[in-house]
Amino acid sequence: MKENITAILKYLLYTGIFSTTLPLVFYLLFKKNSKEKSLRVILFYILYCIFNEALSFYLQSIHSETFLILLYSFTILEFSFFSLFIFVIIPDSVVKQIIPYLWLSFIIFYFIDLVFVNKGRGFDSIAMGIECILVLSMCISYLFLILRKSNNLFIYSTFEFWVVITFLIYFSGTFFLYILAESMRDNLAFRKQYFIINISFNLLKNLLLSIAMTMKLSNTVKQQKNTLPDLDDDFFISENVNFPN
Amino acid sequence: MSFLQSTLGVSSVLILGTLGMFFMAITLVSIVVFHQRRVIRFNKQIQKMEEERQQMLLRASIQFQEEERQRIAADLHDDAGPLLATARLYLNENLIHQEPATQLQAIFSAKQIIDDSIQLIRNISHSLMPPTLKNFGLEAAIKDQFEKINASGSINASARFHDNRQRLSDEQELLVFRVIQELVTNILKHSSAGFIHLTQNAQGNSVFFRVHHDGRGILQQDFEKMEHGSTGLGLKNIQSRIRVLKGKITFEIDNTHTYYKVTIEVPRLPYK
Repeated sequence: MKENITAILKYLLYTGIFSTTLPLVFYLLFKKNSKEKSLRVILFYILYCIFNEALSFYLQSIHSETFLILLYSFTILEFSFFSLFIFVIIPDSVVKQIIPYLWLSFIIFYFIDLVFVNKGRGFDSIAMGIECILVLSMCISYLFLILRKSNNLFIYSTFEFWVVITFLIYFSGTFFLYILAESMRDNLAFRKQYFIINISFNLLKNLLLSIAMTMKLSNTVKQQKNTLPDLDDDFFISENVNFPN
Repeated sequence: MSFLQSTLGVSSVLILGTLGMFFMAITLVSIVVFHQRRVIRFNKQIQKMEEERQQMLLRASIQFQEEERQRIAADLHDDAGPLLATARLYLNENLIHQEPATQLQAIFSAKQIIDDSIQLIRNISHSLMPPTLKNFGLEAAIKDQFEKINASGSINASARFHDNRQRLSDEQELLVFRVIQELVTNILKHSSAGFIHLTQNAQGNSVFFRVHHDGRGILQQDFEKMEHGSTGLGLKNIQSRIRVLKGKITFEIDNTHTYYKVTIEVPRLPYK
């Protein structure tokens, strides 16, 4: 029985690792010739995920300190990729202006937390939790703005929408996992659950990203400026005309 | 969090929390999708209504053309027809057997009737295309029209063009003239106004015409209501002409509620 579970977990692990390549396959099949900025950002994110998965699989067993550095850098780069993606696709608004500052604040906070609070001891739940909250907030802001400014286009048939919901679902699903991870790292049952939930949501993320690759790209809806002049009555009424009181 | 952990156990907190967040995310996505579908349905409805409105305007335009044709037919049949028939009676075959004085009298009468017919046909022709507009442009045509209204003595009509250095195209001038003519006719028929004043000015790439009057007028909402309703053929014609001009028309009342104003905005096309 125990052997069976270990075998299932092993298969799940391999599936999780190999699923990372699935969005890349779909990219090569459907979006190879597209040169949209948003697509490029996601492509680099996918490539980075593949690189990270492969390296962490290799390093996990032999070198735990390098594995931790990989984990920390993944948080920063994942957040950076997503911030850049949202910045590219979000319609002009206050949120768009805030994103660069938000990104910078998180990076500064992350380094301070890593150096002075966590001190490189291991999994950093606070930073991961904050990353989740920021990503979820950006996803919700995007959905809200796109709903307000959308034209007749079916937004749920666009690449951008599917990428946003991918991150929304992935970070919603792993939020509790990350905030509990630091305090529960010695709990064996939790570690198993962490493993299963993390791999499951990773799998779901890769599947949703693959679906996103089959969707069409859309330009963000731009605000139309009102070009009508503000007309004053004096502009029209001749000075020679006296209107009755 | 630690309270929850001690009461429910780590597994329960993790699983419930993860499932809760997951379903919240799914609910959010569903709301977005359903809202979007509703917006699309609503937009389609608006599009359908717009198409119906276009149909109505087209029907009104055709009806107006038919009425115009009937009017011209009636003018020709009722006025020009009898006149020419009378002239023909004077110029019958028996005329050569008549006395020279009678012949002269008959030819003179026939000539008189033919002159009247020419005048009548000229009037019909002018009502179709004002010669002043054709020869001297919109400003002269409107001023001419307003002078005629003034001459009746019942209403004070004036027009002032501020910036007409760059004229509209012939087609645009005719359409604007027809719109103003229709507006003025409506004011004369329905508003009991004491004055009508028209001003013209240009700003950017648009030309503006504003008709002021102190009678009973209509506001934008009345205009839109009439435009969608079965009545108000003249207003429907105004709207269809404004559409052809790719312009805008606005019905307002001034802040002091002393006069109504109708503003027409026309994008300028170079005069050919």
